[in-house]
Amino acid sequence: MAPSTTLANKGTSSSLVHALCVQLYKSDNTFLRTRAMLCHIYHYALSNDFYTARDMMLMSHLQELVHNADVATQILYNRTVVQLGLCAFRKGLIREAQSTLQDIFATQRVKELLAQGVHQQRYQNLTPEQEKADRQRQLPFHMHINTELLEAAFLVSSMLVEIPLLASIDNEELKRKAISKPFRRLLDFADRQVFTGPPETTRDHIMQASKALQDGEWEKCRDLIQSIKIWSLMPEAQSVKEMLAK
Amino acid sequence: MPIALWLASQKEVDQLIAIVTDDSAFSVQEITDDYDEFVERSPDDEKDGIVRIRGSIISFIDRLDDEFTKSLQNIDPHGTEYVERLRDEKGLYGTICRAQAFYEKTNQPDPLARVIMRRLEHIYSKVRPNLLVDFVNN
Repeated sequence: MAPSTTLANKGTSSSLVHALCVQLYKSDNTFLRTRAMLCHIYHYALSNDFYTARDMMLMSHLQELVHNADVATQILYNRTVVQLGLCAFRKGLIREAQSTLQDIFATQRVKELLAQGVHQQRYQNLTPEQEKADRQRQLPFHMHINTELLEAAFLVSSMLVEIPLLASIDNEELKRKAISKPFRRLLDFADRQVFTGPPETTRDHIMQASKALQDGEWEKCRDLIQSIKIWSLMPEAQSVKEMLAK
Repeated sequence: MPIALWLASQKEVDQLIAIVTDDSAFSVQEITDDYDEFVERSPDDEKDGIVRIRGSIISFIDRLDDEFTKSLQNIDPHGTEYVERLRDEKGLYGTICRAQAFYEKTNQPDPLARVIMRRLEHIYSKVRPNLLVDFVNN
């Protein structure tokens, strides 16, 4: 016996998710309604419907409410935000991608925020109970969002926002006001390097590309960005690469 | 929980759901009148012809789902064992769908919402949920 909503009578997975969410919005349980909302937004972001997903995110006022939610819901919220950022990136909305991913990367604890691994913290002693609770919260591997890909998307969008800005200002005061601190830190670090070999990691690629862009060599920058291997994990990798070349 | 045990319990829960869905003379509810566990009861003896048994199908579902996640957390994700285990998600998803059908039929909004949430959590992060298709075909 089948439930009232199935993939067969809904056609696509999006309309199935939509139907299930609508059913849940009618329930009295606020906890379930919040989670359903997040799942719904996540699914919209996953299917590249950025504006719908963003509008739902803003209209639901989840940003203000999520601080009071339980940890599992906060993790789901972070996942949704990240997925929204990736969606913006795929659609070529660089500014939106940068500002969406900004908050997550500013903490430098991306993995922990997504429950995909724990960060070693030197000055923090966790009790065994806390550690156990942390481990139980971890997502199973097949649900993970690739953090390297995420970082690449974030750094590339930061680069595209930040470098033209750096070029347009000559005032020291303004220069210190970075849009993306994590990106600036990496760039400063790369500047101080005495010797730079051929790029190996994703970060190396992006840092060298940023420098090329600073020197006005946009073709070199494009080639460096397009040679990053991790893009292959992104759906529609080819169109994303073309978008970046524009 | 060992995987064999998990599979066995999943089968039991499936059977239970099938029985209570097919035969409306028996019903599993969280709140029932007191009754004696050791007395054999039949629909004919009951006032309205329904034997009510205390229990909670949604807790079984919750438990199965949680144990499934737990076992995935403890398997090395780069091995074949992980993929093998992941195949069981299809069966689990089927069980959840059947439970949803049961709660829809018996009109219990609260557990229905919970079971829909469980179902949603299995599919929201997938673009083309293949296991759905398979469930419908069966």
